[in-house]
Amino acid sequence: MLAGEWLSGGAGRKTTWGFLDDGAKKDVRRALLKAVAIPGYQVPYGSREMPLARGWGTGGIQITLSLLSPEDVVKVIDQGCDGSVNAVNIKKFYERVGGVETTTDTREATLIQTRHRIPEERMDAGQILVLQVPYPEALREVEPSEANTRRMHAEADYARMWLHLYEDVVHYGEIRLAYRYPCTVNGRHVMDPSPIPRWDVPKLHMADTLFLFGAGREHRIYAVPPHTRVEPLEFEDHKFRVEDFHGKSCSRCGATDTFLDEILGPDGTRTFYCSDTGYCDKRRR
Amino acid sequence: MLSVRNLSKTFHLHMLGGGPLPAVGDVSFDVGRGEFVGLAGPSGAGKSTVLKCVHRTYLASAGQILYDSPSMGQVDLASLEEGRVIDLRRTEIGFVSQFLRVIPRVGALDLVAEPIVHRLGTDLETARARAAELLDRLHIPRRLFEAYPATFSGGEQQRVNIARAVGWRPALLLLDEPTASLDAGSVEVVVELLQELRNGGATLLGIFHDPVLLERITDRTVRIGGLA
Amino acid sequence: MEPLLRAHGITRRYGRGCDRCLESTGAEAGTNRCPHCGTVWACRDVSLELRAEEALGIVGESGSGKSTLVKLLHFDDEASSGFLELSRLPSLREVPELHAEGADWSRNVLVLDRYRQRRVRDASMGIVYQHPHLGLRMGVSAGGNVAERLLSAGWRSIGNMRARASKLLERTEIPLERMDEPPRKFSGGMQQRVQIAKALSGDPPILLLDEVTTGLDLSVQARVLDMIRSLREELRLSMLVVSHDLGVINLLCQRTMVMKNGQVVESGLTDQILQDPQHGYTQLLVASQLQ
Repeated sequence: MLAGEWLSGGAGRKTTWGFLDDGAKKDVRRALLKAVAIPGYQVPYGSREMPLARGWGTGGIQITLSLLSPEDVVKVIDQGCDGSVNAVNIKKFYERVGGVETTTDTREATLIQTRHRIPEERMDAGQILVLQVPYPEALREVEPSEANTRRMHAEADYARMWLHLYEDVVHYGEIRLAYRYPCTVNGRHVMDPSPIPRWDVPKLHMADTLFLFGAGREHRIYAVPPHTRVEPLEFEDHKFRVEDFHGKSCSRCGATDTFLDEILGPDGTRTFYCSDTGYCDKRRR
Repeated sequence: MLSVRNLSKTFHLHMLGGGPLPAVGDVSFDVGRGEFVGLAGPSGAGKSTVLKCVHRTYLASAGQILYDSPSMGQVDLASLEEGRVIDLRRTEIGFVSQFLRVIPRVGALDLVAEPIVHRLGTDLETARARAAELLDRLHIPRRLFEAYPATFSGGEQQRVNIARAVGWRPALLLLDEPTASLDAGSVEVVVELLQELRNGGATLLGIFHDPVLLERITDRTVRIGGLA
Repeated sequence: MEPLLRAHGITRRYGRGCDRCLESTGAEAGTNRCPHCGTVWACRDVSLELRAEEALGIVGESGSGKSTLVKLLHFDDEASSGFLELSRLPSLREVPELHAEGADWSRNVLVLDRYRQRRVRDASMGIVYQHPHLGLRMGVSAGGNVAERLLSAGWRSIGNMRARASKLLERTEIPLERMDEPPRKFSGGMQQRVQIAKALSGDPPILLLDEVTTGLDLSVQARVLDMIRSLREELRLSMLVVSHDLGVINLLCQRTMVMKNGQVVESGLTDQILQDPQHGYTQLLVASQLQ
């Protein structure tokens, strides 16, 4: 399909299909194309009102809706969980407006929308992961002004972000960022990978899958195309590290190689469970 | 070595209406290489003005100041580009007056050693040794070597000043009453130091308050007549 | 000594300008604001050259355009027109397409894109401002402040950066045990010294000093000046020294430029400017300040 044809809704498709009107889809898709062309660069777009409050995933929903076709199999997860209220509602919404099939199996899905996690199972070239983003600006922590952060991105002026990390190491002996760990994409733009744990950051690097990031409230879309370098900011003598779950395992499926959620029992006991519930369920079957 | 031709200097003080205040007019004289020439004339005749024009502290209003630089060849100090004047001041032309231009918070020994390090490229150790030797000869007590000359007596300051001026052996040394308030003993040392400088090939042009001294140490004198 | 930097026709104006600006502003007109169109000519047609290991002073009252000039040279502000060229400094070798094949002078760096301007700046200049908060991040540690320029220049080893920062802070007499404290806890003199350490972090050949001792106590001023003097010797720095204080200029600079209402009214050897000032304004300046 030609890009222009795709932009205008696809061949012979009913124009109002899939909740979003054609104009909105066109706008989002145009932003997506630009985002893919400039990996890690935040593309502004006209974020639409959704039947959901902003900040509840409206950026991700708009991307998903503008990509959706009836043949898609959709999975929606919220912090790894297929069963959270929000995930279930969004999934039902897609079933209703798009008539698409949904699943909890990462391998079966063609389109996965997620909040704050990347599935444990390796995704392939035929799949797209849509990430919901609350704060798209990786530099916001160090620079409050949007005009300045845009200039800093334009000039690849990232010394202050690095300085922020330097100060962490100096004062605390380590970089304290647990999530939203800043990454350099394609050797150029510093990007906020959304609030995924550090555990998930390496999955973005040279992946087979297309990653799309949507921030509805902030009106920004950005992307990491397949086979793109995504490098967490790190020092030569202070390397990026993922969370250490050494000696711990999932109490449900026994996995020792997944990101674990720690659950504190009423009696103070600590139990660990896979954060990716779909994967955990699959392992138990 | 130095050929001053038709040098005039006129000041324009804008606060006083800007009218011309002539200081010297149409001065011409030559100084040969290795010569020690004295400038003579009544007070206010403009001897200092001539010297400062040669040093470029004053801008000449008219005339030429041709100087045969060992490194640059003949140049006109009246119009030479500033950067090259700085180069000449660093490598060839020295100026010493009766007033010590102290650098705040630099001790006497380092004040004398500094131009030796800078201009001759000597290491600090050697420069300080040579500076100490000069100060010894000029009877500056050793306990004052590390003290700041700003606190010295007038005579001590002058002696430090002379040590600073001759230490680096300039090719042309301009002297503006450097012995004005020195005692007889110190003057003798200064005469000795200047003689040594000349023996090394330096050319000197100077003003001395004392006509006897002037007669004694210079080869000849040039009379600056002032303005008619 | 060979020239390092040359500037020609540097101009910064605020406003559109009009046909009568030229005659209505500047030193002779006694204002930098055009009475006809309201345009302010903060800096008009300034040219200068800075040579290796030379200190050039820029004097003038507030509003004369001297600080604006330094900000333009440091790319803190954008010039309306003019040329700024740099010689083939070894540290500039990394900046692509700066010098044409065989050329002694760079392209006009005032019209480079900001990314390359930053690289040129990091490789060639350090700056110390009058107000420490302009040059320092007050909430970031002193060591971090020094490291920032290194990070900007691509340093990525914390150990190396801390070693370099310790060396510079030690040299500027900041107690090393305070290296990880933010400058906002420091005295004014200490803040100035952290600024100097930061300015020197990238080992630049050119140091820009903008009224660095103004507002400091006399004894503190003396200490900062002594430090600058000895650093200049040690690191063979070229300096552009902006000050309204002729004493500071006399102490540091061989050459001096006098600015008024955005224009250079006179320039020359510092002792000549002080003892034989030509322009009425310089005469006034010397008469009122040099006692």
